[in-house]
Amino acid sequence: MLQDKLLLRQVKSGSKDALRLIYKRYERDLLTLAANLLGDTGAAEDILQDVFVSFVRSVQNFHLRGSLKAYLLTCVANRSRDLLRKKKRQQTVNITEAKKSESNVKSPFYTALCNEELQKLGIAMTDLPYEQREVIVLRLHGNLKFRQIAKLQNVSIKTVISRYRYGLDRLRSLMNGEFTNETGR
Amino acid sequence: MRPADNANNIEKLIKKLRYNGSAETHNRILGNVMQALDAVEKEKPNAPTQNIWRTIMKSKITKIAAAAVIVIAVVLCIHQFGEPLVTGTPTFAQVIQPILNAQTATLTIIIGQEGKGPEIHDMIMGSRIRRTLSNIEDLVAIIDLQTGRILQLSPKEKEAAYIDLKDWPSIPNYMDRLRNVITKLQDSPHFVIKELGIQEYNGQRLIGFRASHPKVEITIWADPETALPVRIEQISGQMQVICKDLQFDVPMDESLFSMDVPEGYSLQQAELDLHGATEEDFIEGLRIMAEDLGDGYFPDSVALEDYIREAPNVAKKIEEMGLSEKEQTELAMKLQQYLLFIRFFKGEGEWHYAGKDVKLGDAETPIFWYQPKDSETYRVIYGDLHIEDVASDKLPE
Repeated sequence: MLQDKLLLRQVKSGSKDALRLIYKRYERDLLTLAANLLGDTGAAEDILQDVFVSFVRSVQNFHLRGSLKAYLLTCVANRSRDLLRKKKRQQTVNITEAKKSESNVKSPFYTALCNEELQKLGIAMTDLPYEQREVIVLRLHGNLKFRQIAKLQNVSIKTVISRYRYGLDRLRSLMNGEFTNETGR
Repeated sequence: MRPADNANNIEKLIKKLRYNGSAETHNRILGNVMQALDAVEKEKPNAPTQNIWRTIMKSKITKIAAAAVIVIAVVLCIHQFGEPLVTGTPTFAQVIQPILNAQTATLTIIIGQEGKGPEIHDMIMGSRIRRTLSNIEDLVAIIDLQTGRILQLSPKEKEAAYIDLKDWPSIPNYMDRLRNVITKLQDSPHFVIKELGIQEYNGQRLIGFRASHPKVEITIWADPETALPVRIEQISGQMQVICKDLQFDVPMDESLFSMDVPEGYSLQQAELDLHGATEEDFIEGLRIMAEDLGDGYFPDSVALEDYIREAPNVAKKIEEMGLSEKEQTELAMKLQQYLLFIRFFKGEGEWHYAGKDVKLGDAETPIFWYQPKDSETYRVIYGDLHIEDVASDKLPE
């Protein structure tokens, strides 16, 4: 953590090397988080860029109080949620068409996966309520604690843990249902 | 068992849903981020250099830790040359007479070269000193030499802190102490006085005397008409202290020297061990100065006067690190020990520093060496902070 603070100080002084180090340190985790939240690699890349550009623009007044990684993950999660909300608001078609549209937006990341099992899991992820998906992804890809996720979602820790368990149960059911159908054929 | 049959398996599978992006993608994003940094740098105003102490002084703990060393930096100067002096000449005796007879005094103290560092303003009455520093706003320190206690006050913030100086040598009365020192100096066979004659200083004609001793050199400048000393320059070890604007027997209100916390002030307590700093503390300080505060390079100097001059920049860097109050306290305490090692240097003779432009990690370059008391060899600290015991004939040149 102290290393992050030192890098942060150097970025404040205009060091590109320090900024590059921060970027390289967290790029994959942040991109994975965004891709899993949005289901769209292109949108995930845009979010990653937006988060870092915003970070650079506000760095002079930025005071790190916890981990830089947790801060950046939170930024990615917030921007991803905002993007999805914005897209939903822009939908003027009916709910069914919106769902279809949303599904089309989500699919590129998961359908591009080579492993069939992971493809199915990814598509099952898109069927989860967003709050459950967010908890699962932040927990498993961001390694955030339930307490941190609760703060981000502005709910209690109990609610977060429930969302996590319900989400996993639902994924398990969806996955097993797929396997049952396959093996039953 | 099917892959998704239990929670562990599904969690493991989810963790495999990774997207790393291509090298081209990251180059593109990073390029845009760097452009943003360029734009920020162009818009950035010049770094503020004034009032930076105000920022660090917002933290109560850091304020105590950072200011305490500076506050006491020159209190012990009189104590330090408590050995020895002079066969007085009548004129020298006349010049020191006001010091010997005074009950109170006011003066301005400069550590290092005049005009290059902050000024310390002292009012002295008995064993008490009321001190303010030109580069630290909103700070008044009342030092009780008899009990070894400092009361630091921030009138604007309504904050007070007692700092107990561990192992402080009790000095019942500052002016008495000064008198005793001068008397002893006069009797010392090692002390030599040289008359410098009348010279013009800042448009004023002054008569000067230089009193030399193996441990200290003191130059006193006085008004030739009144024989009142107006300026004293002292070189002790590697430290130069200038006392100017001297005035004696100035009427003062005793309440200015009260060690009681004024009503309405919040109170903190701290302790400062003046002689507890070790070689390890000093090395840790060097590491902090290079790694945390020096962008990988050791400071140009480790002398206290240079630290005091650079203190605003150090404070700014600490502020920019965005540390918690606890971390700031730890850092300030470590720096305090680093300063105390030099200020109350316990080795034989002088220490030597050659760390300017040396990068942390340079195992070949010696940056600091000194001879511990009762040791035949020297301790040499290298740029990677390893230490070697070295014979005097193999010391760095």
